[in-house]
Amino acid sequence: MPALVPLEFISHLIKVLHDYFQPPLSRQKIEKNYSTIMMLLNEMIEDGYPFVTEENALRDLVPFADGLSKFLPTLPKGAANSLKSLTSSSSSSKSFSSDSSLSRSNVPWRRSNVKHNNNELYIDIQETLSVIIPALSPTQQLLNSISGGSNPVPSASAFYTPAVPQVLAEPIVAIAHGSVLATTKLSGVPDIQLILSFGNRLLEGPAFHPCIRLARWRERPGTLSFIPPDGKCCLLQYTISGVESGPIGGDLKTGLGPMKDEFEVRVWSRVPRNVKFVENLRVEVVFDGERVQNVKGTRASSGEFNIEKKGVGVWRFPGKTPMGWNASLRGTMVVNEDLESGPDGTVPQEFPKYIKISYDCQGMLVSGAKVESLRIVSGNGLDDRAKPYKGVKYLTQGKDIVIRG
Amino acid sequence: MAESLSKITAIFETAKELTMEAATSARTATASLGEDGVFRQRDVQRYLNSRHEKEKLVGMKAIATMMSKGQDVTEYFPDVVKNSAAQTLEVRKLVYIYLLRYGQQESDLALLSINAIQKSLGDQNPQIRAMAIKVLSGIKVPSIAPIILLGIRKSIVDMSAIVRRSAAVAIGKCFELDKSNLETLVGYLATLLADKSFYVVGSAVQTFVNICPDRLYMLHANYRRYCNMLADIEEWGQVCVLDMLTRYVRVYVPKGSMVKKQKDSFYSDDEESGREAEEQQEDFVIDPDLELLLAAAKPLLQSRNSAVVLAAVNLFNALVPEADLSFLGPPLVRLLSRPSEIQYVVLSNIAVLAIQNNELFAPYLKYFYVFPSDTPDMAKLKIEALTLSCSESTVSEVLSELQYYATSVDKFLVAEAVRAIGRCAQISNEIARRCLRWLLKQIHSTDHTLVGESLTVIRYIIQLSPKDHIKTVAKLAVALDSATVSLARASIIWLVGEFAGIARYIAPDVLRKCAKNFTEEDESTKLQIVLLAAKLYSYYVEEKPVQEDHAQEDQQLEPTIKPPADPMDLLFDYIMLLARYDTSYDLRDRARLYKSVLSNQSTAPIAKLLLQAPKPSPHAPSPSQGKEKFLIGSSGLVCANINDTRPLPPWSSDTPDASIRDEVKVEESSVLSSLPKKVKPKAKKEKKASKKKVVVEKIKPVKPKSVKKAEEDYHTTLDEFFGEPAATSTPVMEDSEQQEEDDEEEEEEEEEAEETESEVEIIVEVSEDSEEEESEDDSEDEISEGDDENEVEEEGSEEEGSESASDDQGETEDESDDAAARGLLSGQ
Repeated sequence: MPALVPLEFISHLIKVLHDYFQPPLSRQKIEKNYSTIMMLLNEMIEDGYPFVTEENALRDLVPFADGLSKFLPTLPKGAANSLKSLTSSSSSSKSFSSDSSLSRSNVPWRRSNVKHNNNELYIDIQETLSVIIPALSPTQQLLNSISGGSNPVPSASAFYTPAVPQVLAEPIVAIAHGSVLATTKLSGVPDIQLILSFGNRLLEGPAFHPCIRLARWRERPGTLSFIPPDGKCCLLQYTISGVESGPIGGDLKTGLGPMKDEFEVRVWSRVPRNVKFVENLRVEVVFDGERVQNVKGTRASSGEFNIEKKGVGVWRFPGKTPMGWNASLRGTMVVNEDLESGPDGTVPQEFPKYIKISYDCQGMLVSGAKVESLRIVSGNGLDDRAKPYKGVKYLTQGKDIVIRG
Repeated sequence: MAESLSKITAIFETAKELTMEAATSARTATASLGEDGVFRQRDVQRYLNSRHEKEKLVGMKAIATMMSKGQDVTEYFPDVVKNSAAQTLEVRKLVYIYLLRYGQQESDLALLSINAIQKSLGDQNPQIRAMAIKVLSGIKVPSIAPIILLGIRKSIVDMSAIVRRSAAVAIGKCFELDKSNLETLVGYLATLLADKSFYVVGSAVQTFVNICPDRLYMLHANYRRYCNMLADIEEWGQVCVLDMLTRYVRVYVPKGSMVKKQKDSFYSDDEESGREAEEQQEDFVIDPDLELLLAAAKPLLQSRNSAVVLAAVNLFNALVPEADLSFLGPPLVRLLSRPSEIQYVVLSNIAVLAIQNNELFAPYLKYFYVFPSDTPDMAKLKIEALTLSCSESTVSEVLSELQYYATSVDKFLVAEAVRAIGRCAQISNEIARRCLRWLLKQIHSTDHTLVGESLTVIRYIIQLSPKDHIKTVAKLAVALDSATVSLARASIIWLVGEFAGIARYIAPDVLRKCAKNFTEEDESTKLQIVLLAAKLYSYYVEEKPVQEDHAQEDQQLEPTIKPPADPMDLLFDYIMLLARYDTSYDLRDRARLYKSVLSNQSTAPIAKLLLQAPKPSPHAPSPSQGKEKFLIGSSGLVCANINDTRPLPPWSSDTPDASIRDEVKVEESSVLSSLPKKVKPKAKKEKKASKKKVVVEKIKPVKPKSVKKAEEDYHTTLDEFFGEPAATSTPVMEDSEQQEEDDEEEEEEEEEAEETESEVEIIVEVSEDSEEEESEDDSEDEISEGDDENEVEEEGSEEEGSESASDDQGETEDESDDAAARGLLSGQ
């Protein structure tokens, strides 16, 4: 069996379990639903190979435990039993009654007979940003130190220093992995056309949900034409390299202070286009845990700095961080005395190796991708006046923004 | 009036609420079973034996919970088996799962359920039929193999693709159970391989791979069809189909080739295309059939399923490695956004691909930069991919990145990076010098890993061309003065000794310096100093007799009048003396050995062997070297101890004519799939059958007839017959007007099904009370038959469902009739 089949299967299984039981999955949830999970697995694997793994197809095969269907089991034969009276009174038992269990819709990824009272359609575009910014070259450092003379290094007392370093290193890697997610709660079989624009950027090997009509994309890249599966699905995954380094910048300076033993970390948020804040901002300051005993004399202009594990100090900014803001952190690394000395007989001063920034930023995408238009081409079973499209959400997640010192 | 109406509605509401409450309380009553996590056997049995479906379900859920917890629930076997004909789908499914799990252990009891399962094979609900064939083939009781065979025979011509797909899997399971049935099963499989539904083909091919992977000739007529439907097959099926088509092409399709002006040896096989090809210069010529496959496989590189992507990459890599495959890069690097275990597999494959073609990933170097969040295994593979993909123009960028890793905190990363720098050094002499310069600097580092690995790489680079690196040895000797890490000192001394043969001036001086503070060195360094002394002395001893004849350039080694006065002798004796009184046993032993070997002229050859043996150049291949023998995407490539890889067949030099792939059998396949279509009227009929028994009698004889007709046509003039698809239905219609009406009705419904699913929904609801009306209102359109037998079937069986429930007994009889009829239909 190809190596990726079991791995992909597991990721499908997790998706299906999320679909059935809502994330996050807990032990209790699993234990409460053993029989459902058993039936799911029974459908998903046949003869040791993945069989039916599409969430929507599984919904037709395995009762979906929510609301009434939880205790009103399926009645494939119309039920000549006591349950007949029960089910007939409740229309929602239809969700897994005979008709739906029998039919397989002719769109393999869409479950049959979808009905929603409120028709809704949401689009989410998420990008995960990975950036490596190298250390400044000696000339750049020199430039900074010259101009730094007139603009003194912020002291501990100075909050929200407005200055931003003059010379910044260009990122050597800046990759955004994006995914376009759709949450559709539409009755019938809607046909949707979503047009995205990526500026002039090149998507490296986009991957599509099976529902996307590839021919349309080829005709006009950016066009997603599809009949969506019911519920959540990932329409498109893409990768773009050479993007901007994101709304949060940072730098790491070493060898500062009178003893040349201090380091300084600075982070700042760039002036936004239409973003008000970033969330969950956190800066990891990584140093050699073997050689550094402690970090002393830390002064942070805001946020909290703690050593959380060996070799990693975390500087947190809880809640929302506004844009056009900055903060700095200074400190000195205390070198482990037991270490053997260098050739000149002294133990060299240690500094952070790199800093790693992570955050969530809603409302923008680093790639500049955006939804141009969304049209429900044909919504059979949908009210004509209905305006199900509720808009798009953009989210940039800074995951691995590494700034080397 | 309005008031009373509202009253009535209110009453209804309360009634509804009451029923709901009843349901809820019923639930709470039953749900108490096993709430504390303990199931009392008596309780569970009571539920299982209950007359109420709902309670049975509770019982089965308890069984499922116990099974999931790993408890042995075989004791409930009799109680569970009783429910194998349960009305509720969910109960039945759970019973089936139970049977699959325990059938083998309690084969006698399991046989009791076989009858009920067999009956389900004729159920109206395709899902139940599919489940039945699945369970039948899954109960591992060898004695029922003939029953399974019967079941499969019936299911492969089922009108529902769901059932046929399950039958495809059942064939594989039946083969596992009883291998003697291979030929029969292969016959059945051939039918499914030719199935027109892409839903079935994926599983059929998967079974093909399991039971008879070598019978690739079975695919001749299907090849082009598979290529055309590739995009529609479900993703797991795509993985199998891609693999199998790759193998097929290697055996039956001529290899594509870069055509040059001279005739390739390849073209000796095929004179015509050779001549043709000569006209177009430097062109990549491939067979049209291969081209068809490549065109079909290319979109699969954009699959969201990484297994499909790798299977497609393997196809291109195995079939057209000569072509420009640069388009394989983006899909693979995109997979690096997936979870780390998938990334690991993808990177392993990227490394192997990069070994074969180092330009493939040259534009994507950035994707291989190591992030702190990468696991060590991933980092190792990324570094390897970086090293393999860099060229002379990009190497400086890669080197500076590697140098960053080499000075990082992570020991593992340091070692990998330094080794990678060594591999980069092979690109050119200029780069080797640059690498060497950097590595020599690292000797002074306090990082042991860095120093150790650097010296290993330095040794490697020197050994590649020792003559060019005498200066390097000298530099090393100088570095020894300042090197503090004992490991580094030991390695340098070893290196100097090793190259004493070529760098004659350096080694004795190093020895002299070392002798001065021998006692302060670490043991490992001392060992190396002793070894160095022995090596030098052996060169010295060896040259002594020769020296008389030749004028010696070497001043230091030139023997003076009296040998003992020679500095070499003195040095050697001095070091041996020091070693003799060292605290280390090992050191003393070695010193004694060297001394005894070297002091005697007769043992000189042994000493030479011992001390001057040329060391093999350390081999520094890329870690993934040697994995090329595995297929891209295979498990063997990732896990060394899995050896499931069936190698690709070699390219066949003598390929048959492309006409074997003409789609003769595709027509046949539509015969086979058209069989179920004839059944459709029957399905309709049966619904009515329960209403009007008279109709059943009138219609039933028609069915075999229509099939016979089709078969006759098939045997006589296939092409003609299928040239006019309408012909198939005409004779059937003639038989009875009722039949005709049904056909039309059906077609109508199909059309609607195609147009809009939601409307079908409405029809479904309507048809429950007044199906006749519905059909009569419909206009009589001539529509080509669509793929939607399912739709029609569903409605049919849905209707059936509500009716059959009313009289269970009668229905079972009908079912057996039905089964018999189907047996006929499947047309032995």
